[in-house]
Amino acid sequence: MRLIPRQNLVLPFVGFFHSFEAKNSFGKTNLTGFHSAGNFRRPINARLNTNLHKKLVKRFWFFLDVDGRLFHGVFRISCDAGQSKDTENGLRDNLLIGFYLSFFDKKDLTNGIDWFIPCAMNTNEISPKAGSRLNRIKIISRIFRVLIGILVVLMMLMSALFFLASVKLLVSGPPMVDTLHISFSPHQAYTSPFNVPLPVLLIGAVQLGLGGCGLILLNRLFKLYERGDFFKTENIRCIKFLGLIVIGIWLTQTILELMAHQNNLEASGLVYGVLIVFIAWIMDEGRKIQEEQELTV
Amino acid sequence: MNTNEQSPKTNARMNRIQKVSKCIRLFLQYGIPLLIVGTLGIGVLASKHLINLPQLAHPTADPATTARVGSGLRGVLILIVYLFWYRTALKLFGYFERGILFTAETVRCIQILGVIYFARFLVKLVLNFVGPSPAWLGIDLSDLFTSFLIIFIGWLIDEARKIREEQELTV
Repeated sequence: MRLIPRQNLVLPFVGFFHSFEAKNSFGKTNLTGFHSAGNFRRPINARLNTNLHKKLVKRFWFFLDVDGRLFHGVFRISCDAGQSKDTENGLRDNLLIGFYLSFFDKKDLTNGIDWFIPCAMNTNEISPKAGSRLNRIKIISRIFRVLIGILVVLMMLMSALFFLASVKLLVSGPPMVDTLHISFSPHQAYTSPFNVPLPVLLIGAVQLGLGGCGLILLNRLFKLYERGDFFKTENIRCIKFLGLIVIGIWLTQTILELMAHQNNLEASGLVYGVLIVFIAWIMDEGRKIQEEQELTV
Repeated sequence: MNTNEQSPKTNARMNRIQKVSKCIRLFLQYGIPLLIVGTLGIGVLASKHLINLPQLAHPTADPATTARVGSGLRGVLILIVYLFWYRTALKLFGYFERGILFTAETVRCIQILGVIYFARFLVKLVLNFVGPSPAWLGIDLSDLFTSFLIIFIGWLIDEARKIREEQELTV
């Protein structure tokens, strides 16, 4: 354990404890953000990469040890604090140190104070309820991924059947009874693939491509949820692109219906696509707000 | 330190969210009724031959009585679904406008919107098969996926909110 000069140690130490004051709801929000930094049982990991936190890590490294050495380090600080006990700052600093020591003695954790010092606890452990919720999310994400896989296989089978039916149609001519229907939209249905106009075929291909991209993105999104990443940039990007794909599919449907000279158009696809993009944007803004709060000292 | 103050960037982000939510809510609250009134007005004017509207390429024949009842029932069901959607969307954007982002109420609204979309898909499916010419032609599976996606996002946000609450209360 190396000793750090008093003047480099005391102020960051006090400042670090100040950051854990949870006097109001905003403070509590801040508190949540600092849980990852407040863990003294293990070294602070690379989640906080700013220079300020790197300095804090250097200052507090010798706290990241078993309890005996922790006690010694804190006691050393108490001796070296050099703050006047009569001044407000001095009283406060010694109060902080004193209560930290009393917590180390496993008693009086919250005695006489209106806040607590989470940095002395192991905040890496997740409560059993939270663990079961995370597991539930992972299981459901896996189920959805399996369903998407099954859907992709079914679509490939249908495409293969369609191809075989087209070849049979080409070889043996049209059947007596119309059994094959190719539908691009409610009013764009054809009995033979060779009767489909080229523009309809192109727009149908675009629609199919968008559907395929949507399935790939859905699979990626559920994979991220299965891994335990919920509100990262990649998740939000997937949700935003899924919203844009829903809008794209609505657009292709609308164009196909207009080409069939139908004026009975629906805007629900557009509305829900915009809603999904809007929710993704709000999640992104919320994520940025939380990141800014976490990095605010 | 004073943790009551929010950073200026955070304030700017919240203000942006509130402004956009307000615009969308105002459009929903006043724009959609105006659109409906405008469409009805144009229909009334067209029926009195005061204006000319473009005709359909394949105009539908005069439907039989049973078909009229069926389409009337379909219209009523879809109207009910849209009214629920309208009320929930107004509530949701009202919450966003007030800065209430990911609480139980907003999550409930998102899930209700997903359920409404799913209900709309079911109504279309049932009416397509009950109608005079049952077919899969009128069914769009993307509606089904979109509804499930919205419901799942709402459920996920709710679970994440509960995890965070539990972690905040854990000592």
